[in-house]
Amino acid sequence: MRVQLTVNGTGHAADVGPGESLMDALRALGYKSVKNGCDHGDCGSCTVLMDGRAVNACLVFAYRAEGTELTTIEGFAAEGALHALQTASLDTGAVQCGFCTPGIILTAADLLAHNPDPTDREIAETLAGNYCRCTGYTKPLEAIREAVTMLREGADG
Amino acid sequence: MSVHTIEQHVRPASIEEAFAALGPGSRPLGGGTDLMLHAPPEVTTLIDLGGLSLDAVEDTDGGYRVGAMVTLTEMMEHPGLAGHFGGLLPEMLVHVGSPLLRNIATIGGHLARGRLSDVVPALLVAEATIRWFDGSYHEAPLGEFLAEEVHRTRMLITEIGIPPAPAGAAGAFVKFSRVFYDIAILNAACALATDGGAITWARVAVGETPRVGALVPAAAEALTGNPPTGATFEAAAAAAREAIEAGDDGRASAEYRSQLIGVGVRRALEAAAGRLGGAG
Repeated sequence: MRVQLTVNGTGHAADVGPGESLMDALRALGYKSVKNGCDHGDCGSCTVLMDGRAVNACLVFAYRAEGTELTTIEGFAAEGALHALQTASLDTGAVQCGFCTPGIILTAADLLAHNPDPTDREIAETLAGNYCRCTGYTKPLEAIREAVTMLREGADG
Repeated sequence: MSVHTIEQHVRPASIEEAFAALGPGSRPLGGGTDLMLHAPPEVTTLIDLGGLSLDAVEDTDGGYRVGAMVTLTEMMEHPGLAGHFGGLLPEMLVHVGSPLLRNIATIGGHLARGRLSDVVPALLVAEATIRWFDGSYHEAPLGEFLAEEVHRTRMLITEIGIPPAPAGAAGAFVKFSRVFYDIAILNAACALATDGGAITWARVAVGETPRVGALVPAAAEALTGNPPTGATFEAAAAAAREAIEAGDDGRASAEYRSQLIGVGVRRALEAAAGRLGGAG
């Protein structure tokens, strides 16, 4: 079946199967940041934003994304300028091996959009579904805290 | 996980139409997370409930009507629901899957499973009702719906109802699991109201015993009329252990669960008591 998917502001006419996952559909369109880590909704490597909410793309039927705004990490740096979460991740060394990084940044973006000043516990709870294979959550937590500060100062300034 | 056995989906325009499409090879589609994970091989048709206006939370004079297509995240973020019983629902929902899953999974889809639920004990102490359609509409207490295994029949869940909480009441939820959002080894929820000196109203529910959650009237009786103190909570915990026959499964032994029932009920009661009379 043919569906219209809007990814990072670009429209695509995509041929998807009735039971196809959004993860498989996005990868077929070339969005390879949407990684197939577990295909079971456990690891968060396939995280995308769907109308601003972070979801496991492996657990969403692709046809249902029609009419929504999808965001992958490829579309996250507006006009080439890095998002505060990306800058903070580079500054703190949070990118590590990089496999989980797109998912962590997108999940954190959902958190900060709905809760601009989260506690450490809320940040940790939010990352419950984004597995880091380097087993190093300290740097991503630092990066999100730093991004909170950057965004607040940006808003104040 | 792409499900290659699915051949089509239908988008009914009414509940009646959706119900008519229900058959052995079809499944109603809420968030779809369970269908994607478990991909039942007999399912070839999805009945998409997305177009039936089941996605709103309505305030009803201190209570709420929650459409079956409301996501778990939307329940957590709804200001009224989030504050109900001093924060019982968000305290529980943060343990249900990850935010990534809660942004997709719906309350109707969750309850239609009839099993493996942190949501059920919390909704039971909140005295939630559930509304469904099987040719006509029905509404019953959630506990009755689960006890009669209505979820196994040919029906569609349309809504849950949450009545107003007794004045000043507070609740709490406790979960035991190996890691943060894993399936519970055991869970417990409670809700209490007092007149300042004595407990005037109480509900206690325990789940994953390993059966799905159920109210424990004996524990509520041990609380009612007594002061909200450690001794009362110990008595209620003991009553719950006495009343519930815990079972074995791969997650825990009956003996271990029986211990956890006492600990979980006591901790939930202590947490709820700490919120009584406060802002939550």
